[in-house]
Amino acid sequence: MPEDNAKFLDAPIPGQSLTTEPRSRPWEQPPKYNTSEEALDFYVPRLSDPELMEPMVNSMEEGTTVVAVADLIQSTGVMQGLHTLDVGLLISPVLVELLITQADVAGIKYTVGNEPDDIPSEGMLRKARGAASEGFFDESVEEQEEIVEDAHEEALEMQPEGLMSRREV
Amino acid sequence: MSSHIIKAMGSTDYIIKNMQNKADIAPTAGLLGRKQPRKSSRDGENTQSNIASYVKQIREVRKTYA
Repeated sequence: MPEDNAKFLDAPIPGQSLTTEPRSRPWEQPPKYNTSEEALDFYVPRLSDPELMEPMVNSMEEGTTVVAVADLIQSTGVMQGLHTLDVGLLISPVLVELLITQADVAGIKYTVGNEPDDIPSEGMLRKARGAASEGFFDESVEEQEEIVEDAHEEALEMQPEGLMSRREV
Repeated sequence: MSSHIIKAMGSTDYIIKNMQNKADIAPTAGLLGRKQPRKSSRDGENTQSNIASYVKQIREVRKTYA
């Protein structure tokens, strides 16, 4: 528990990113490569270089999924101001294929990250819980709607009682 | 967050910096080597079909390794 609290305090303060000088960060500058083709011209020859790829191959061998590594590469590229987030997302499939090829060439065991999993994810569990409790929420919503309708009808039946209001003769 | 992911984040940062410092590599090098400039959306090409063709090319190259 104390460790969790410490992590919470390490998180950035909301609005912290706005405290720096505008355009002082690389991602606030115009990107170096504007199209996906230009970005690929930067990445493809470099990701094909075994010397540069050694740490990445090691990470994949240690258990980091190929998709996670590709995501790290493209998001780091965005942070360094090489390309926009959109271009990064577009070139992701190519990066994944390049990394798989590198892993195959290196002869390591790796996981791509899209393998079917027997253990249900947290999102699936949440959905199932939501579906199970849907009936309960539906009833309470109906009850609330009835209360609102009754109140509306009562309000219509009430006669105006102000000093200046017109009275029925 | 798993320790190997944190380690991978550190090494990715290092690699991208190294990539930028490395002198320009000829575009003919690598898996998608080419002799002509790549045509992009600016030349009226469809980015999505371009990406799909690159993925296909790399998969074909990988088959030759296997």
